[in-house]
Amino acid sequence: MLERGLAVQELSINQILKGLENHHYVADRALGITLFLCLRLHKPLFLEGEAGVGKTEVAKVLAGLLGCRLIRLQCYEGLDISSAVYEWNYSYQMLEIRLLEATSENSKALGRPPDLFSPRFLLKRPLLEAIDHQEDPAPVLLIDELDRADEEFEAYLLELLSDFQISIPEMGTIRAPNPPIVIVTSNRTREVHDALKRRCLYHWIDYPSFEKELAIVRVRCPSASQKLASQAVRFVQELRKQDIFKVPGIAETLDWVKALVTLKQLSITQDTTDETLGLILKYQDDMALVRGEMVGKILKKTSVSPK
Amino acid sequence: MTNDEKILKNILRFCSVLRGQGIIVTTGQVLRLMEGLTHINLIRRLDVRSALGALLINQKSDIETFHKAFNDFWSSSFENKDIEFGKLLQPTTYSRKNKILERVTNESAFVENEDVSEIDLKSAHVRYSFQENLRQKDFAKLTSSELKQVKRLMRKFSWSPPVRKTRRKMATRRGRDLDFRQLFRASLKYEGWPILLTWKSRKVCYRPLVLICDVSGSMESYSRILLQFSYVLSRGWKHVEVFLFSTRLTRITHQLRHKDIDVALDHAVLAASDWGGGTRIGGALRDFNYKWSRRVLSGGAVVLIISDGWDRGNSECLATEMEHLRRSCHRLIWLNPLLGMPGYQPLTEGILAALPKIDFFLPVHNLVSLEKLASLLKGLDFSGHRNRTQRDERSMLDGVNYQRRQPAKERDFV
Repeated sequence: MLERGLAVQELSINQILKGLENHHYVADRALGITLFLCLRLHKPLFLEGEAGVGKTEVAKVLAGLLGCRLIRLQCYEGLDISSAVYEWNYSYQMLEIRLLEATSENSKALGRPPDLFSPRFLLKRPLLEAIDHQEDPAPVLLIDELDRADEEFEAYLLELLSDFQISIPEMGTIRAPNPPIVIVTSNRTREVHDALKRRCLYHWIDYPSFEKELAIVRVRCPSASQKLASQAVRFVQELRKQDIFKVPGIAETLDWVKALVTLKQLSITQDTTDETLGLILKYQDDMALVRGEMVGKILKKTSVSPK
Repeated sequence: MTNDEKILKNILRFCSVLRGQGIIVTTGQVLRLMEGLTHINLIRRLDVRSALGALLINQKSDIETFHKAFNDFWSSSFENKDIEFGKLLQPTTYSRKNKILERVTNESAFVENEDVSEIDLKSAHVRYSFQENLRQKDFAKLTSSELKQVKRLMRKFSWSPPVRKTRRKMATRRGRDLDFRQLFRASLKYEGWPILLTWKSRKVCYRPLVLICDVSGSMESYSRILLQFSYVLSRGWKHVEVFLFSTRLTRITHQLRHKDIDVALDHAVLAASDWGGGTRIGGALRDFNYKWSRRVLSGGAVVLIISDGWDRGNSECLATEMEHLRRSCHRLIWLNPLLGMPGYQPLTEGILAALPKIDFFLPVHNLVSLEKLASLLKGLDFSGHRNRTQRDERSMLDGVNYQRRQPAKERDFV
């Protein structure tokens, strides 16, 4: 959490890095600097990387660090304004008309037309919530997996991210008094348009090194012993170098270590690895390739005696 | 010059260096960079590098180029900047003269077919039958003058890509779902009674197309023309990815984006450094599946593999990779130029292994076959289920006029 009286703007790089550490996110300095620049320059952050390396985590941790709300928008094909920005509460509006009629307060008596397009009939969805907020500090808006949305949504988002305003035809334009901190993630199943990427600061999160991954495991699974953690990380690091279809990410490593802890294992053996392979590999072809012989080979290479 | 001005000048020079290396840096980014650097302690080199990286890079493929350029530019030999500067500024050009390029541009394969007698094209009748013959003639047997004609005809093709229904709705006159927003607004005219019904239905968009073309030695007489064909396709449609392979897989979509067709084809040929080599279809498809399938096959893509099936690699590997590919795309079409030869039977191990996984196995030896392919692609049905719709699609191949029925219930869509 932020110290009292310290504005988001005044955070230094070291304070951000310290904050990330306190929230159990192991980050390198480059990410810290990128986050720092995002906060200072009010620009969105575009995070790319392979699946399972912790892109969504960054947003959650940042929200925790700054002590603000996290608003999450999960993208999918066909995401449109009524699911992403706002929708009118039609049934409520129709009821209102009937009610006005029933209580014979028609427009002639009132002297003005009934106000059917006022904020109380507006259903706010994530993007509008992020713009039309009354909070301080501003919330963190996470736009997750933007590559799954289609180009029409990207075009809409482009406009939003440059001006931070939303125009509702019936009501007018709503501007953000305090623009939210935007983090966009992508899995690269499709190339996101250049214009959008250029509006943002870019950061690529790669698979971690041995030391970094070990630190992550130690921080996230404190109940695992040093020996188990280092053996598991060494195994996964070696597995990433093999020719498999879907290389395991950090999320898979963490799942595996937690499973081993649950199974009360103190170290890694051939049998347990073969049994729990489904936590690391998610494709049948990969599992068939790795199970048995390759597991033994890797365990031998990482100098653990296979039993 | 003050220190600040020096720093500013060097940063601007660095941006020009990046532009020379092929990384796009806009003026807006440079301005933002200046603003951003005021917050950073410029003494720490790594901090500056991270900041520059965050503000100037836009995609993963630029990261390595950026790091190399940064290290070269800000290295300890700072005073020798001017000497190296000119070299760094030069963009990478295809300056190497390649034997392959010469061979392919001379189209020496076609010189042997040179026809001695000239045809009088003045009368329309002769012209028509000449064109008819040309359309039927196999690509490998064309003379160089006929080749030019064929190329011209190919460029005039109008291709209509296959479509699919997306999950996005748009307002239509008649549809399945009610558009409540418009309905409500329309009802205001009638004091809140929803008399006018407004509908919405799913928007239709084009499917992406992926072309994987064999350019090994056995396909030599067809490669150049088929490369032209892929250029024509990629210019006409929006989402076309083109890959070439013989021993390795090379992506040439970017090279084919050039406006001038000859330059584009030259760049493409040079990019595929294993042109005319041996064939390893299985290995190339494996490469594609592992590296590219997740990035280019989204959105229900149609995959076209153009190869004659003479494979030197492992046919088991080919079968597994074809199965994998089949499951990841909407339709898998194999185009074989040898199918045009009368009496040809696909008997090689590779093709036999792959045949059960293919949705359509078609010839591609002359313009007529390309026309048939165009009409097939146009008529590929909306729905994803292979079993249900293959019957209808096969009937199109007989040249029967295909009347489009109402598409089947709008259920799962690939």
